[in-house]
Amino acid sequence: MRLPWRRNAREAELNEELRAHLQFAIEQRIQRGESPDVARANALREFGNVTHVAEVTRDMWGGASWDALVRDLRYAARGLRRSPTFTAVAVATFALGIGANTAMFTVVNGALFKLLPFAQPDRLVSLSRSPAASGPNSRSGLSDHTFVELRATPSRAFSSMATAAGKPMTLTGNGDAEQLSTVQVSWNLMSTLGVPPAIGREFAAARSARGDCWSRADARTA
Amino acid sequence: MAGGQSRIELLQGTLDFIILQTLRWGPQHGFELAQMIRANSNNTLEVETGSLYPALHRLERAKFIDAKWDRSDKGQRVRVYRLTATGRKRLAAERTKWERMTQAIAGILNPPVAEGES
Repeated sequence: MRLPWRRNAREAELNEELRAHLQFAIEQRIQRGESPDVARANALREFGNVTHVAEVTRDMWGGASWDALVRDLRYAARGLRRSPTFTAVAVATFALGIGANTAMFTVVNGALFKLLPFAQPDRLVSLSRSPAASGPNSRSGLSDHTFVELRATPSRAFSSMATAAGKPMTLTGNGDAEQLSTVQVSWNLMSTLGVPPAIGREFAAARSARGDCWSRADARTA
Repeated sequence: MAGGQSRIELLQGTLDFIILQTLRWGPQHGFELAQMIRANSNNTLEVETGSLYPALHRLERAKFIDAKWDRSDKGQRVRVYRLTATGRKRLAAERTKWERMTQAIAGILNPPVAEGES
């Protein structure tokens, strides 16, 4: 796209170029004996429409001309104003399309593209079991027992291994019984993910068997 | 157009070739160029300004010619066009093409008498 002010300078040059041509034509006719007025009239007639010549020449400069763009936009705006129903439908279609796309991208971006907010997310893997009987695509969690066994197996593949399993639990003895959505995790989950605790200290391996219970207030602030 | 039937309007493409060929004689501004084309073609070829200037600016954009402002003998500011190295190469290629074309057309106009005829 040519910038409009640079284009103006170039148009002035073009006009000068065409005027010079006309001037030469007039002078030539005067030299041949035509009177200045007649010479001018004839030269102009021979030259043709100066504005038109300038226009077709400008078209050769290439790129989308600024004037043409403005003209097209005006024309489009007029057309849209003339048919409001079409405009409304078109705008609604765009709005829905853009909205749906944005929503979709937000989900996909969060779920697939953005790295997990943990230290060295590229080195995190999720382990699961696929029982031979139900095929490789069926995945099931590891039992606590398997986990303990896996951890005990000497392996250089992982520097740390932790488990987490969603498990709704019931809280009683504090007024009405209440169901809490909780996650049962191994003591080293946070350190495996490289997340320091927001409050308190990390779980100690020795306490794992007993399990720690946070108050709901703790859980909320955590 | 003055001159009536005796003058031929130029075909697209041919004009580019003619402009490049005419600029071989040296840098010229638009009016001179038109005059020279007319003179060299025995007043047969008339280049209209509406074709000449678009062609010049198109050739300039394609870098076959370049332009700079100069003063004519009488002090008129003029835009003078000059053949570039790329333009020379282009001209040579066009010339070859043109010669083949004219030979072909000459052949069509005057077909060699086939053996067995006449």
